[in-house]
Amino acid sequence: MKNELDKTYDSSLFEDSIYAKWEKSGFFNPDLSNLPDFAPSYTVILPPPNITAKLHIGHSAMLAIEDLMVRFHRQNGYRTLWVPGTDHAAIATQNMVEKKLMTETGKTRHALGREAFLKEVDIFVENTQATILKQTRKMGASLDWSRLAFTLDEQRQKAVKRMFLDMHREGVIYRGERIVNWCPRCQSTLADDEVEHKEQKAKLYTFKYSADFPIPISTTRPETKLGDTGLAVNPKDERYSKYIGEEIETDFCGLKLKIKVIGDRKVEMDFGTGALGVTPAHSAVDWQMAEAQDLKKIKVIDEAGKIKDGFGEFSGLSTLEAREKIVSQLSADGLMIKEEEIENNLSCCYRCGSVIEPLPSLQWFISVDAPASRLNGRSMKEAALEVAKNNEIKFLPDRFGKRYIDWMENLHDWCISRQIWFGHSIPAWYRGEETYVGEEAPEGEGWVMDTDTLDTWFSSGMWTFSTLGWPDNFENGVKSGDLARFHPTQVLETGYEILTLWVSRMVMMSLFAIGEIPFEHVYLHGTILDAKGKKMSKSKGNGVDPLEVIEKYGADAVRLSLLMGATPGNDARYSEEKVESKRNFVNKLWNISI
Amino acid sequence: MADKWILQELAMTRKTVDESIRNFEFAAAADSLHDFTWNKLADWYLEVAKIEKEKSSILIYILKNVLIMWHPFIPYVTETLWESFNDDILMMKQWPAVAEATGGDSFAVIQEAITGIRNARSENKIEPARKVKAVVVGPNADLLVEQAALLCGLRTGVEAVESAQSAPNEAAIRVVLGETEIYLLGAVDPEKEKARLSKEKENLEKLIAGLSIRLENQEFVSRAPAHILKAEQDKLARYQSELANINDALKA
Ligand SMILES: [Zn+2]
Repeated sequence: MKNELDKTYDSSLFEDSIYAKWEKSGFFNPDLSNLPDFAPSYTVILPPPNITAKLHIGHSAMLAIEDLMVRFHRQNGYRTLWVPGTDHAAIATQNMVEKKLMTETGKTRHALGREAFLKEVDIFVENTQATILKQTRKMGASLDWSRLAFTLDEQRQKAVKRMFLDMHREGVIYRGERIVNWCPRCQSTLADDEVEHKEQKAKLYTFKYSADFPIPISTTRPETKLGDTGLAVNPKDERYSKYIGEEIETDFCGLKLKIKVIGDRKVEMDFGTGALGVTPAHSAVDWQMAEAQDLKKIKVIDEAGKIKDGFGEFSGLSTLEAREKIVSQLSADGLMIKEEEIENNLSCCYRCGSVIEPLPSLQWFISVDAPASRLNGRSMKEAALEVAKNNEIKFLPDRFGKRYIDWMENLHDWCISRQIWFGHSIPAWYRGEETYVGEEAPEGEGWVMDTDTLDTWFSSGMWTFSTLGWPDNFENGVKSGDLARFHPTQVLETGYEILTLWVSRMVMMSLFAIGEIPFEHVYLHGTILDAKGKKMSKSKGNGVDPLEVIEKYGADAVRLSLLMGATPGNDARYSEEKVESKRNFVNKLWNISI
Repeated sequence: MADKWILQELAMTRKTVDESIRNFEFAAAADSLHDFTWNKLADWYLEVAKIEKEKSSILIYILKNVLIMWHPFIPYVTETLWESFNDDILMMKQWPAVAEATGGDSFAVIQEAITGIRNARSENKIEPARKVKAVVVGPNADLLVEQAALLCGLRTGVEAVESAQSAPNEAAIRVVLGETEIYLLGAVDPEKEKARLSKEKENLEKLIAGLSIRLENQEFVSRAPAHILKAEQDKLARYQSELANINDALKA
């Protein structure tokens, strides 16, 4: 032995200096290793942690698995690159800072103003980012820090803007009015997968619009009926089919409605009365019926969740107040037929839990079905399905391949604009009815830039190639530099809960931008649960701070305890006893060696 | 012989770990390395090395391989150990091509014998201090006599190993290893054994008497649920057959 070593291994004496030694060697960066030109490359992109909070033990498991794969391949002659980064997590971060602002100063973001608020966000981001990077190093992760990226840094802003313009030029991005999932609390639209569904009891009301209206209807939301323009029945329903095509004028709680009876085979004859009041402006399904049958769309509820002007005594009321009022009026007028309790699937905001209000709004969308010339006339959906079905991308465990395909097959257009301040800006300008999309503001007076920002998954969906220098090193369909050497990446290792939110988007974006898959393998890890098998959370207080356990047992013991329980797709339990037993093993190895 | 065996195990471990990592079976890779390091290297080979001596070059070779393979799992401690006797950086150390190794199978026979003897001793409650003589009969007898140093040195309590054509006549504990049999002589102290058996006999007789009274009690028999009754009857039968065995042993 060259150096004398103590009888027991004290991790705290060595870890920091060993990490410094690795970093100083430069070998985290594959450009500095003396590999022959023919050495195959092995690239892993670290799923960028959200800068909303410091890392938890689940992140440690991810780092341990990826570092294992990366170190193994680095030691086996591969040109190995592991790219670090963090995610700006638009809406999540904004909510975090809003909450902080409120508790610390009692101010809302509106009171502070956009510019000052974004400065607050920057300060917050800088803080958490520093913590995250420190935690990542502590785990021993051999990331190439010279390629550190942030989903909202300058280079990524350039990439996002370019992507938006390319997609717009191809007709894949369009602006249109749609029913969006609107959170009246966050004042923002939410993607379908950002909406959580809660089973809960609700009242189903059965009534007639007015005494002379021939068909009774059932609904859980009588207040939206102020905007009904149609009545859908099943054409096979003998009770009602004779009315199809008729337009009936009626008086509903003192307001005039013009209801057109339409036939739709999707209407269930035995649910409620078998007739549905169609409210195009406040239900995604009804919106589609209205498009197909050319019904008028009347907006009843505004962005604050209140009844709009023009609805008499109901205007200005909240939806719940309006509902109560309408219900009591219907009862007083003898129009209420039945009130019954049913199990209802309530849509809630995944961030704040508020009830989602479906609202029509002008938004930017990615059409997943539009044929794109750069995809040889296929749509993004078709291209993304093909690579999974052809096994060009392999999923581990493979049941997730099926889940990916199922989800992709049912995918609707993706709403990418968000009414929040923190995020990528949208390169669009408006003047009256005119819209301009481009690199820079258009010439001339009076143009106003879009104040919305892009869905956070738009930029993280580009992560495999935006971190490797795209668009600068991609010209006329030819890759150069990092993009040529390191893309497609070999493995994406991430949590199964973001298979649809993230993984699927990465596939579509990469196929569109550079015509190749983003990764060859998708390894989906499970969730780390506590010793009793419960989910860890801040509120339950059963979370684990990786830095604390590293301090106590050493990073190696933490890594080994997470690795020895790791099977793809399955949740694993964490316990301090496990870490302790791995620390004992590390000591055993130490004793064998000295 | 142990050298060949540990090199063979090392090569097999190297292959398993490599394949497991490439197949994303990280837990399996770690288990295999753990098994090699703890059970094979520490529990066996390092013990053998204490007896056979002069193994430092092979030990360093194995240690280097172990550190290289453990590095992706536990990079800090492996790099720390590595730098104590190497000038290069472990993180960049190529995994060596481990040559196919063979010829380690006969060490497995020794291991089996040692484990068998240890188990027999503990099953027969032989005090650790009591030394025994091993008489080996069968095809592996010569091999085991040749490796007597290991057989005696590795916590077996064996002080001598002999081969024989047939089973000895003395009272012995028999360890069966396929066609080879090991007889442990001097394991049984006849006086002590007799005392133990007598005590056991007394105890059993008491238990049998108690149970019999219970089972002759008509009230119990008619009231007890069928499965309880059956369990009590089985228990009685078991005590009775144990008692018969002890009586036989005492007569011998
Ligand atoms: Zn919300």
